[in-house]
Amino acid sequence: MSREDIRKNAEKAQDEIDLILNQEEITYPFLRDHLRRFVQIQYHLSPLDLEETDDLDKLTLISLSKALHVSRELIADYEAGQNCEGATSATVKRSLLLMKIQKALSVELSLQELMGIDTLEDVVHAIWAHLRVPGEVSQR
Amino acid sequence: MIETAKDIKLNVLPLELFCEHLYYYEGPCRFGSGDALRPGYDEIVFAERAKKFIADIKAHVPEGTAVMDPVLFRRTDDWDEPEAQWEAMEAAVNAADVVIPMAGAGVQDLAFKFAQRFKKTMCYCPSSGAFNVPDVPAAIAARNVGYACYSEYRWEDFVLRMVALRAKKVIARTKYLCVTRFDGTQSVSRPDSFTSLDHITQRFGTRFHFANIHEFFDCMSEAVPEGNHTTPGRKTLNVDECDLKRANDICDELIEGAENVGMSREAMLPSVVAYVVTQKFMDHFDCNAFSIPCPDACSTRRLNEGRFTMCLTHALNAEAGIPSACEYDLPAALSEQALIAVSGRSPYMGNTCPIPVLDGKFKHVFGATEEQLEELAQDPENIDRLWMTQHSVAHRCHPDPSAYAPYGITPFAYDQKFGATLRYDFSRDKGEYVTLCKFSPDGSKMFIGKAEIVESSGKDKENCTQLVFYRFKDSLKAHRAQCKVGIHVALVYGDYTKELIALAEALDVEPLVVE
Repeated sequence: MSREDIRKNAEKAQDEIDLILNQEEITYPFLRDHLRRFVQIQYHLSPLDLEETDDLDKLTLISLSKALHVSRELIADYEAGQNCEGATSATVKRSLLLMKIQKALSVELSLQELMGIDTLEDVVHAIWAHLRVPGEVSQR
Repeated sequence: MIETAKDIKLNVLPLELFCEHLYYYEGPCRFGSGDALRPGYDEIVFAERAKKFIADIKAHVPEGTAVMDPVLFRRTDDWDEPEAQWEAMEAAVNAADVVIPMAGAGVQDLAFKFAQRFKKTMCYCPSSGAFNVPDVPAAIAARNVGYACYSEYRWEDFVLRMVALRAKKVIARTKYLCVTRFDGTQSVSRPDSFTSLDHITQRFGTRFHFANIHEFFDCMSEAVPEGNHTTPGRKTLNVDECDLKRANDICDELIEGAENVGMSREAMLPSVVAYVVTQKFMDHFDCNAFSIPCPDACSTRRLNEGRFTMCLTHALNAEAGIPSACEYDLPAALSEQALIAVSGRSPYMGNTCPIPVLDGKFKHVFGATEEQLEELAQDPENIDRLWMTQHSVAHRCHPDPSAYAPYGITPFAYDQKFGATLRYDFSRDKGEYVTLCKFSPDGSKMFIGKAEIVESSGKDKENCTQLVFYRFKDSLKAHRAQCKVGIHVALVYGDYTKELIALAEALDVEPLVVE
């Protein structure tokens, strides 16, 4: 994968975020669909990967495995993000994904919320709790 | 309430320690790139690490461990250390037996400060951090402060450590029912019992509750309005109708399940009543270990008069995972407790000795027949290696604590045929390993042995002739070690030497390891 491909991929991912941000009356299904799509693009996953598992750790490992085969450049950031506390490449990748989502949607998840995240659905749910208008009913 | 070893849980408290960077910067303690250097990133990584840390602990702790909800101390690179956070975790820390800290950059000092503040046993686990964390253990060890910090980099060692710390807690929560006639420390026949019970309480936390032997025996019959002879007018723990029904039920169950019964039901019942009274006393006084002096009791002639012995009580207690030792051997009972705690198995105990070859044949030992010793001498593997443990407190649960193996019942008293004993054929388990254990009289040493069962004796005999033969690899070394701990040794099936060595370390006693 070339630098240009990586850049285009990032733009496609940003499109999904923009759709969420520009939606006037956002619903849970809308958020879920576009956030999942964002992760799929960001992680270079196929729709089949997302059908097979919703576990964020597993999806991260799939993505990491693909990146290793596709481009050394794709994993450089994850190795650089490792600190002396023992974070693995997978932890770094997963953390950078959550960081990106939070920044893009201007949401700050608490430590407790972050600890509650095991699946992609958990991510959507945590973000939804911050995005939804008070009184609005979740359509999960 | 009788709190058995299996009821006692080790409360394990995960301690999450977190330092977050508030600004973008790079340097000797901060590295990464892009978003990984931005505020907020540390928290996301920590959340994942902490979750995995807890999940790993839960996945690896051994049976008998309760993992508590974690406590968290968080700081920033302002190096703040709010007192309120320490105070908020006090209740949880007080309820914990061992604390498992996380390790990492910016929190090294916090774990040490935690240790100094709470003085709790701590143990780093393989998921604590990237390094194998020798810093805090070294800092604490250097100060000789009376509490320990361990660090285990393999899960098998972590598990062993937890088993040992749980066993240490079990030892600390052991409370004997000591039924005495004369001296509360030692009986007539056991000069190798604990030299000082106060010292043992100080050293291990183990406690001792005393009951007078005559008051105890008086309770084996139903109460009379004027009270027992030894305590006129007092309400006492005499057996009642319900207790006697239970004793009769146990008697019937034992007879029904036995392969052979060499005594009458009538002659059995008083020994079962003694067991029921023992349970009643232990329950009333919240005890979970038992001993009574045999010779001191015997010479009162009340056992003869009441036609019972305490052998069955010791056997049934052992089956239930309750340490119970003959002859007021308190170290033997505590050794049984140690074995129960590390193995979950039902112990046996008794007179233990080597069987040397003297003048060309095995020395005669109590309980063994000449024919049997001659047969054992045919196997060259037994020469200079043969040992035995002998007392009629065998039971139905040696190979499996949750199932009854075939057994017999015979009397203790040759002449009058009273005193129920259970008999087990240890030869069913030839080739199995046993682990032996015995505290020294001052509690400073622990005999830890591993041996192989080779034969049994006394299954169909009467009296105190039940025994198991086994062999050590180094008999003389075992004898030298036994001379530091005493004649009664406790044993369980299986190899638990590693666990006992770890327990000895946790108790700060010297392990005398023999094979």
